[in-house]
Amino acid sequence: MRDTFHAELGELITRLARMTRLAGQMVTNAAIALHQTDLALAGIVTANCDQMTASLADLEQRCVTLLGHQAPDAEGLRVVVAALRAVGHVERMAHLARHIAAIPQLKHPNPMISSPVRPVLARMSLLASQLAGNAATAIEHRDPLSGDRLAEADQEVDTLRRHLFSILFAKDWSHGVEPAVDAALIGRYYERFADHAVAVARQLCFTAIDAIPEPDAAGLTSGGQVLRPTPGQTRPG
Amino acid sequence: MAADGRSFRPNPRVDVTAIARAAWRQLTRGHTHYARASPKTCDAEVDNLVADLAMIVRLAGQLMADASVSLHQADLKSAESVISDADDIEARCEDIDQRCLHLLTLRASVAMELHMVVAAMQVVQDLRRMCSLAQHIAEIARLKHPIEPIPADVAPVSRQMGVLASRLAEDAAAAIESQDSLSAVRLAQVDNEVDGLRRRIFQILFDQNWSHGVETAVDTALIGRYYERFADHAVAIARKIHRC
Repeated sequence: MRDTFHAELGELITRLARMTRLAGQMVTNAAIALHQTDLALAGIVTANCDQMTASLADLEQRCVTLLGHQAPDAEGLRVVVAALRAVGHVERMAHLARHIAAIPQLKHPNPMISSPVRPVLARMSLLASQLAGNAATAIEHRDPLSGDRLAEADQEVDTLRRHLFSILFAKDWSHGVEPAVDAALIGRYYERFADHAVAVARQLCFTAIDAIPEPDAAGLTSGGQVLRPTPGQTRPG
Repeated sequence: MAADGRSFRPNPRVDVTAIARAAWRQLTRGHTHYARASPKTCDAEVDNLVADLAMIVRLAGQLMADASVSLHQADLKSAESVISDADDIEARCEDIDQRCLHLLTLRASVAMELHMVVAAMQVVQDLRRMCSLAQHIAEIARLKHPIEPIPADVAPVSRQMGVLASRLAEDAAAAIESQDSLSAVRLAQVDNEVDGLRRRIFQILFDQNWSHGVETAVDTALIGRYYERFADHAVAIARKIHRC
């Protein structure tokens, strides 16, 4: 009984990690759509977002079913609860990516053309997408220290956002109000995306997730023990 | 009466009261949704949880109303009280989270209650975001203190957004208390109004006559975004309750 519960939980977490990674890819695509006015790609991001919402709803339903039917033990319970919370964060990530992709669809001309903040926003999108990828890896490897590491990367996003504002508010900004407002909002979307990515990793890695075996490792390990990176390896510096 | 031969004489062998009682039982059996008019579940602990949750949602609405006041009247004192009150609500959220976890640990709940507890945990997540959004608005008010951050030509629109946002939280709280399954639709309508006001703000900002500079425009746009997100969260809360 308990083994099936943990196996199911392991699968659940793997799916969640996969979706976090997908959200990262979505934000990359959204950034490309934005910077190159690629409307077809923007459409793909929107479609991805819809798919994601559907499969997240399914995932959430499975969490509730697990809670209802299996009467989990304390640590299993904590993981299900963390997964439920992570679902909300991943959903927001998908929606933020869709917001970014929608900008070239709504605005003519594209606010990114000839904007001096292009490089800053490009860098922010890269970091946001990397954060999502790293969060997914951290969840897959059951890495309990990832939260701090990701938070460091998240600080860089925050710094970039402040830098963005300093460019927008400088005396020599000559591109008018609308591009500045757009850039500020896009910066805000990336920043929120990054925050959510960190939150997903925090939720799942700070709980007793390491007690849940990875699905493919389930047959190889005994007693719920899973090989995971030692703290020295995971934390640079 | 007795003359037309149709007078009613009770048959002593038939117990009319018993038949009526049985008929009533037949009628009301399996219609548990009649009982939904009063939202009491059998578990008092879950009831308390739901009541406290509604109260916190209401507090969040109040917090946003205060944040709006601090923003539109450049009131430093109320800005600071919003920032500290938000921490207080945060602590209450943490308390709800712990109680949900406790409820889930203690028993394999009845399906309806399980859904309620899960919804409560999700509502807490929304509440946390709502608090930080109100906090963001109060922070802008504090940062710009002697000056009113919102110029006079946008102020009516943003003030209205603030009113609607806090009213939405109020409505969401009422929806939790009465477990009203229709309120989600009603809330979504008000939310549309908020979105409309946000577009109105953009119109004003992007107008040729805008004379307040880039920084004010960016601040105003972000404040509009905060109000809009707050409203979205309130609707999300009502929707989650609706699903139970």
